[in-house]
Amino acid sequence: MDESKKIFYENVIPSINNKTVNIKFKDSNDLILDEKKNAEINFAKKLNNFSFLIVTSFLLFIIFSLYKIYFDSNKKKNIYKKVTPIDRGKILDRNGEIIATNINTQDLYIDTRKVLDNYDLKKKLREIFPDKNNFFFDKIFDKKHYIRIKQHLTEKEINELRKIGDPAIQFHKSVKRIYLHHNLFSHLTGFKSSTITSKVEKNLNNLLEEGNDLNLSVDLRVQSIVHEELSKSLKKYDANSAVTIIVDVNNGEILSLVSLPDFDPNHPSNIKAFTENNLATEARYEMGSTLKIFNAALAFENNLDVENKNFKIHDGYQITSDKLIEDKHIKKDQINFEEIFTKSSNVGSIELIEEIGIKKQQNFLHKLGFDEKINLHGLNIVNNKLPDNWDDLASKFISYGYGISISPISLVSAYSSLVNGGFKIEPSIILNSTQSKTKILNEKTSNKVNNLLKKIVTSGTGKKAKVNGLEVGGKTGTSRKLEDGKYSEKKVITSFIGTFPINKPKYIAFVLFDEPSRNTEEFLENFGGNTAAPTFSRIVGKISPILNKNNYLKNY
Amino acid sequence: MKIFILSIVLISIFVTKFIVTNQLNEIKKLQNEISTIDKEIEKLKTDYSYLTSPKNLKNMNETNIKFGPIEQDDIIKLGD
Repeated sequence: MDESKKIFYENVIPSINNKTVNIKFKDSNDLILDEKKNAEINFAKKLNNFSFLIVTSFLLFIIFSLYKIYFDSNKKKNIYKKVTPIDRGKILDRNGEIIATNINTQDLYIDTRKVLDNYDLKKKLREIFPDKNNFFFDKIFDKKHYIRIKQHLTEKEINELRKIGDPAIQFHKSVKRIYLHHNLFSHLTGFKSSTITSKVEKNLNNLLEEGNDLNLSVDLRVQSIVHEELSKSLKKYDANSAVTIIVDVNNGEILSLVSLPDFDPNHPSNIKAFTENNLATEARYEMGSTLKIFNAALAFENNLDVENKNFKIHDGYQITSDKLIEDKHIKKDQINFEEIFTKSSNVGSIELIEEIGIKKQQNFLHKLGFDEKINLHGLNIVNNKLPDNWDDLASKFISYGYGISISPISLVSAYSSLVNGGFKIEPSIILNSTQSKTKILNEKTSNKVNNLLKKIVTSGTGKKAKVNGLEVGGKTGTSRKLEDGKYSEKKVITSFIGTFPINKPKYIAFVLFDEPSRNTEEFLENFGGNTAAPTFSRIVGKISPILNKNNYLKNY
Repeated sequence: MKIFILSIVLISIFVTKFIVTNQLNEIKKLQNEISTIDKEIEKLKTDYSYLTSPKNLKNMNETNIKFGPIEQDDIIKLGD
């Protein structure tokens, strides 16, 4: 072995190196940890980028949304409607004339803590509100409080109050429902006060509350004429009450409905109970002879061979052991089919229904809807009262208009089917709300009924219903009222139901008077022709030029 | 870079918010004006409806103009 190459480690002096180097000794575990750490760092970086993207996108979305609001608000013209409080909808007539609307008013409040001169303010308030007594003001000024004195001040009252200049006087904005035509539409609109609502205001409250205007089918001009003429007649005949309904026979729209007495819906506290009932829909009457025309329609519809028959009336008709029905107003021994209606014969009507039969009468009146409840949106309707036991006797009573109580609106509805070509219609007070019509009678029946109605006016009991320049047809009616279980001689109901123009009926007008004063020497059967018929004539004479479509005002 | 982008975005938000708020205020102002005018129009319509109601027109006619409906006698036949 070469000795020179041998190194003696004892003699080696290690060189001094100030630099120290940390030498990491890595084993396999460390390498695994290192890899994990790198993976975490990479994940964190990705997360960071992702978060940045999310935040930036969110902020950009905010910018986009703000711009969207900006541009949308420029486009939407009606956006303000959503933010302003909704006023209750108006009630309008068929031509857009305002019947009921809300107006802004002011209420008077007094802050008694701020009064400058109690005595002076009390004195001036008493002068402005003479209807309020001393006790009222003494009670108000007794305490220190903030209290309402009066709702819905008039312009004059506001001016007077402002002149006082006392800091205790405060005004608050308020809204009042007003009815521009006072009594004219009271039985349709009803009224709305802070506590009570009635009729259309009540039954269609939701629709109005949402701010929708409501177009009624009535015409202000027609309603005004009808109200005026009916009021004059009510006074002239000294009747308890009166009703008029005018209906378009082709779609059932009610153009006018007046029930007297009526009320002013602007002053709900002054309304008396007996004026509040709408007698056209909420009352029912035994109509008397106006129902006789249904016997004729029944005969025409069933093609019965009765039109050439004669009916003996001279001896009357013993309907019950103690009741003899007579036609004293007819100076003839026997009459033909047409004369039963033109002369309004009770005996003839009974004999005719004997020929026709109970079942056919029952089915016919059922088909015309006498036993159905009319659904007139917005108004309350009373049910008709038909006989519980529809026997031979009941059938004979019904033939001349007794033993069956019906509401005027129900009669008008059934009559419409007789004259309009045989279509069943639903009466309506809402414009353009009519439903499809159902054919229930032959057109031939309708034409024959119209001819008969025309003859009643030209040569029968309805002569006083004639209208200058217009051909009309109709049937008079007079019925005795029940009083203590007996039919009264004095208390009667008179009516006339007519249609025009008779060659192609478009409208029905019904007039009824309850207990008009009667000259007892006058034949009862002529009474309807002397009261309701002339009223019909005056009303139709005035409204027919307006109802002509060409004269209608266009919407403005 | 990210901070720069975020700053730009944030500034854009504030600018946009400022523009939109101004615009909405303007709209509110216009809405109030429209609402006031609408109410005024409604009031005038109501006044007009009241003044031109058949009852008032009838009174005005009776006191001032005295128009009446055409009667049959007013129509002259061609032969007359």
